[in-house]
Amino acid sequence: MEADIAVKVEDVKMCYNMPTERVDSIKEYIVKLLRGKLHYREFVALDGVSITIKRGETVGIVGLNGSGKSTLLKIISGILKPDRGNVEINGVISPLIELGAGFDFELTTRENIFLNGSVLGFDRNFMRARYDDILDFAELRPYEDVAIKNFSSGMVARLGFAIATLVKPDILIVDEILAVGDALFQQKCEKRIAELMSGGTTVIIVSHAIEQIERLCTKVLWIDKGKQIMLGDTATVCEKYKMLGQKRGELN
Amino acid sequence: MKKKLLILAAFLLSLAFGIGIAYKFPNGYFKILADTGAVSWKFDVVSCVIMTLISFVLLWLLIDIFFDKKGYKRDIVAFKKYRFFMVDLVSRDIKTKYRRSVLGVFWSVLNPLLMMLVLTAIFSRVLRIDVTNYGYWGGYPLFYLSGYVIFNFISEATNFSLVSILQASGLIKKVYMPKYIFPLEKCCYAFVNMSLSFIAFIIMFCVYLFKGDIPISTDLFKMFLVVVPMFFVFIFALGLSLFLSSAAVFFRDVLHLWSVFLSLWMYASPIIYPLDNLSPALKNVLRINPLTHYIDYFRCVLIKGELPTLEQNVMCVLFSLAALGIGLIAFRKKQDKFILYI
Ligand SMILES: Nc1ncnc2c1ncn2[C@@H]1O[C@H](COP(=O)(O)OP(=O)(O)OP(=O)(O)O)[C@@H](O)[C@H]1O
Ligand SMILES: [Mg+2]
Repeated sequence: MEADIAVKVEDVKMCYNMPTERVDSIKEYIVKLLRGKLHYREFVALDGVSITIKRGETVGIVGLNGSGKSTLLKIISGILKPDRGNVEINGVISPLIELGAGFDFELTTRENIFLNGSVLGFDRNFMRARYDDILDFAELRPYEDVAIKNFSSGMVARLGFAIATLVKPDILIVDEILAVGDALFQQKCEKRIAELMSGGTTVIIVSHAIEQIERLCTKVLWIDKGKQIMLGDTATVCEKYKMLGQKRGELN
Repeated sequence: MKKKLLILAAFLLSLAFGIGIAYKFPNGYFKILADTGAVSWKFDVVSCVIMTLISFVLLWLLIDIFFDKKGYKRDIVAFKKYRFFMVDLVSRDIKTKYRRSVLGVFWSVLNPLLMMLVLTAIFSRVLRIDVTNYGYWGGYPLFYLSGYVIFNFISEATNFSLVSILQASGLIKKVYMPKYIFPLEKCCYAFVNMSLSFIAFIIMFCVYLFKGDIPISTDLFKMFLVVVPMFFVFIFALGLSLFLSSAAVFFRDVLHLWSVFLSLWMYASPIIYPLDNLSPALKNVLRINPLTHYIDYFRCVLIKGELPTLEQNVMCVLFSLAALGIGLIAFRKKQDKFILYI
């Protein structure tokens, strides 16, 4: 893989099996096996999506609810393995599929910072060096020793965002999480993402706030019902996407 | 396709090996504990089957590694990165266990001691079995405790691991992480617990040492060999745990079946009764059980002061590797599908 490419996704397909038909006991399995009924009806969540992302690019992914955006991000971060196709990654990924993944809500802010660091694969010394920056960025210094079960959801989001971005990943994945914080914090987040971008970090953003995508991204991928509709520069794709939104709105 | 052919070839090779072993060592597969009393062709068949299975699994594992070198390498590299996370998990498990009761550590020592008292009363007073006749120092109490420690480790490690993947589903769905971390962590946690309950053994050992029931001689240094069977058992339990944790993802009823199996397994292992007391035929049957070999090895160095024989070492290593092989093959084959079922 060429050195300046951060993420390369080639023709991936992802199927989920329908939860209604899940077999999870041995008896059921044998009964179904004997009756020859053991093929799942599959749900294709993603089919034929390809994208190549260069180092330092910021890519937005847009699409309606259930179109497979989160699925694609999970495939990129290695959480899901695609049924078909290839994914190649160059560098350390900081996946923010959901804020607070890996947090233990019984533990304090301090403990969670280290815990979350180790969940992402960073050791204590590494996290200690960034500890103060994280606290300051999240503006949670007064809550250093408070268990995060007592936090508001915005506070948890801030902490998650601070950890994920201050470890200086090569690739940052952001799934609809900027919407949680208040306006001030959103600005701060965008500033932080811009900083990371100029520092060479590759960023992949999923958001329903199209203005945010327009502001931050250099390239946009539009998927609908698992199919890749369009991939191109921000202005063109966003315009088409907005037009479609309007049309649908009028129809209703 | 090529892989399947190779696996078939491996099976035939192992079959030949199994038959060869049965032919070379007639009457029972391993000569440890072998008794001349019971000569039967059945033991040759069992011997052949078990040796075939073990060598087949090992060859299969080699083939699997050969075809997926990259994957295995990635897993090993990932361990380096996520070891802190594993240590965090283990320490969190320990903290939650012992935070609830200040007497936590005390209980994990007292519990085996109480069990020991009850069983000692039954076995040496009621049934009048005297294990010192078979060369075990310290009589029934030490005999029981040494077996208990091993069995309890296996039972805890597998029981915790069984649900480990299911429990970690929140994390597995949201963050990338090598999944074998979870059963491995549970085995480490169970190992720490085992070390704690070992305190009970040490206490009783000291009691008998002062009473003079244990000969103080150079033999005592052989006790430090105890780390060898502990290591073997750890690998064995890890293999089982990998297998069970992945099975539990697809079939939830494994959880119930396993607890039934465990209680049967306990009585089918020489934990509360000595093997030496059984009829030769029964002894040979018990030798099919891997746990028999581990416990025998354990007691041999710990409360007999004997050096383990070559056969004992070979059998323990083979059983451990075979269990690890089964675990690794099953786990790695299915791990990408876990997320769709949890
Ligand atoms: N674990 C799962 N099992 C079965 N189906 C799933 C699973 N996860 C997602 N799906 C299905 O896959 C499709 C795509 O889901 P995905 O979460 O990727 O959508 P999305 O684009 O992120 O939507 P949103 O904008 O609402 O976040 C949905 O139709 C959903 O029902
Ligand atoms: Mg989503």
